[in-house]
Amino acid sequence: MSHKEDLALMAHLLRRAGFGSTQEELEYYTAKGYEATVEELVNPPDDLPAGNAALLLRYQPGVLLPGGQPFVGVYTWLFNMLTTKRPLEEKMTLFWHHVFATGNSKVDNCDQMLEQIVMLRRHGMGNYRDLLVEVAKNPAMIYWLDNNENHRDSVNENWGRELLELFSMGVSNYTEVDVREASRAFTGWTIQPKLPRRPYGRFPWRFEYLPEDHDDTEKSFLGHTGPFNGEDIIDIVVQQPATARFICRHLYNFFVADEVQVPAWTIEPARDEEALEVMMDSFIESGYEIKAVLRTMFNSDFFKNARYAKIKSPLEVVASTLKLVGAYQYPEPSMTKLGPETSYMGQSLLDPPSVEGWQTGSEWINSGSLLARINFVVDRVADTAMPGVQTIIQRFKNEGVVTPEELVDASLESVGFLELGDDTLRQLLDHANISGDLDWNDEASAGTRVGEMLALVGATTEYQFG
Amino acid sequence: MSLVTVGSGRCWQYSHNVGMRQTTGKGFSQPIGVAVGSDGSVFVASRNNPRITKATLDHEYIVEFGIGRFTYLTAVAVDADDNVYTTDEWLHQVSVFDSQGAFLKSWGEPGTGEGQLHGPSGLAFDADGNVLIVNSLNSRVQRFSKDGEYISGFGKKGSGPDEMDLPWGIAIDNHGCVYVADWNNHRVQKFSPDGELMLTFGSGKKTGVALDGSTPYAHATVGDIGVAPNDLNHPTGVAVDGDGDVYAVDWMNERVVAFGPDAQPVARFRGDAHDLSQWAQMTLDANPDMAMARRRVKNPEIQNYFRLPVACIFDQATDRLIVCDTQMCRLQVYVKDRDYVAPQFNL
Repeated sequence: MSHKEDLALMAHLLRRAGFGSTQEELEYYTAKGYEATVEELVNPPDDLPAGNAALLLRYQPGVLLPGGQPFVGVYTWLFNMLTTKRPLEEKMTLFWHHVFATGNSKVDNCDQMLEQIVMLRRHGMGNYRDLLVEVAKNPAMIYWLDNNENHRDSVNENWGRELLELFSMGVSNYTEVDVREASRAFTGWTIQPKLPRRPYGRFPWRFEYLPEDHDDTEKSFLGHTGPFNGEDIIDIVVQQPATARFICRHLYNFFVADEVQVPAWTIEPARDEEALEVMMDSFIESGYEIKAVLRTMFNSDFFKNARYAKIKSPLEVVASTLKLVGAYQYPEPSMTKLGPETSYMGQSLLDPPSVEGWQTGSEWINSGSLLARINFVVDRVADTAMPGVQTIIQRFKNEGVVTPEELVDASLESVGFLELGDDTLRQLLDHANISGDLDWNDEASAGTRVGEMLALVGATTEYQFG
Repeated sequence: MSLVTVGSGRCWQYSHNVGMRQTTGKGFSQPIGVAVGSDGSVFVASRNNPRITKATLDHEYIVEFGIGRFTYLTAVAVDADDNVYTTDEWLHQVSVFDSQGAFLKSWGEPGTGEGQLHGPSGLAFDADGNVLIVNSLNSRVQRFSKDGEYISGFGKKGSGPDEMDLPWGIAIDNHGCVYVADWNNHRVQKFSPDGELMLTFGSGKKTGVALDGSTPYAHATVGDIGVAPNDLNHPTGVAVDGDGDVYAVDWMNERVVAFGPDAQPVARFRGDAHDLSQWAQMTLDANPDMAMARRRVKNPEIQNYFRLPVACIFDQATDRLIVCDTQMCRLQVYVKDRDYVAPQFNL
């Protein structure tokens, strides 16, 4: 495999298992080797930080308790994505936010949403059974799905239903009786009343188990009978073959290639049944270890061959672009404007449209969202003052990029070795030919042309794929 | 919870708290700096909705000012004429107001050279009326006249004995020695008036919460976080009293550590605001739903604690330690009690 092919494959891995890469990161990981990089992503050393929250809190202390302001929460999380040295851990946090979709529209305590994100970060690459227990005890989730209203003498089925329908097995794999019994098992799993937001500000919720409110009588659930509590239900759920299939299909859809939407999974076959089987085997054989299935997936040929088989989510558009241009390593005041950017493209982080999360793939694209995506990218990659764009310009200069063909090729490489269709490539070349060769004696003009070409690349249909 | 903090022959009594969360008027928005005027009034710098609030420690709201002039308002200090000096670490600027809040002037040239401001954060006046300003982004301390004329400076970026990394708060003792909260090196450094390193406070070892870089949504002081007294986690503020005792605001560990003049830790404060401030009580009286919600809380002790506190000062005129309890949007006030007699333990 040529060095360029190595770089292109690594760029693919870093797009999917993270939020893209800078040129330096790409070269560092390529030198390290593909499988070694997968291992570092899956098992990051303890001394690699998961972001720099202290720096953000120093400059913008208001981000700790954003209360009812999800956009503050969004850019707080984005800062993590941009500064983390554990990119897969953060990408898995985003993955689980898609699956365990919880929304500030109801929770109205964005700090609790962010506390849930921290929980997903800490447990998102551990054991799936343990993660489900943490999710079941998470205060934002308990409030979101009304388990604080689930009492021994007055059962609320919201959490019990979604646990089975959206968080583990998927529809058609259980009965209404199973929903009822699972819900009974989670009675008494609630949150302590917290100090109200006035006069000093928000205080955190805490999980609380109330044995006096728990129904400890016998339950029949998925063929098992006993005085089950919540963890017993999770143990049974995890061991269902449907669960491994459901979670692995989610992982495939998120990391490998776009699937049909979740509600169609009971009627539409998987995009790659063989790949799904490989992932499920890894998941089950490891005892439901998420790292195991991630390692298997990223090292597989079906992953390596799935370059540009996914439409980027709005978050991926925003985060990868900011990473490319080297933005916001320091918490500037203008970070506040980042909050709504993904919402303009159809993805309000921390506020999904429902507990089902977002519909993905081609559903991300419509005439409004496409314009928002392109404008966001173009505005930033054409800004030659951005440190990442400066780095690209200097590299072009040092590597002697001069001709229109070289300019187009180098620009495509800079955004992650983007592969273009013939028509698109010809249009870029036609544009580059209008001004002829780059003249590095006039560095400012040459830099402007690099920025323009990056902007054109960012406006292509192909750039919408990751 | 204890309202009396005793350590190594010293005693501090918790007095009361002032303020609440409010974007204007009677309240603060993430207060990160406080200064005391000659009449005992306090000037509180709010980072969010940036402004200076003038009030008394007896809960009298006087005036707020500077609205619209700040981006990253960082610190506040008062000179001998009761003029109020502020730093803005985004605008690289010092702004000066009179004690009633009228704007007087701004000065400061952005840059990293001598006499230039680069992320100015903590500031404090020396006995000669000159002002020392921490340049956080290039890790220097510079001395200026009150009109902004550069006099001297010291410090460089690094983690070595006399180096600093993103320093923040500053204090000056009665001998002119300078104490700097060396934020990213997790220590406080004491320098001679000429900038020679004299002593280091704290082990320099970061322990406690949020070590993985995540945001500390869990309250650090709720559980036993197992932090040694000498370990500071991103210290932000520093103060020194007339006895030479030094107070370091241990930001991420949500406490204030008191050190003796020899840099040995002597006491720790976690916050003791068991009471409601007068403004807070007024708010509750006007919002019965909030008052009712408080009544169902099983253990409201969490309210007492500091939440990511940023700054503190020691007012030698009244022997008061005033802590900016930043995320709780209030000041917690302690009095150093020199006449304390410990009651018998077997009472």
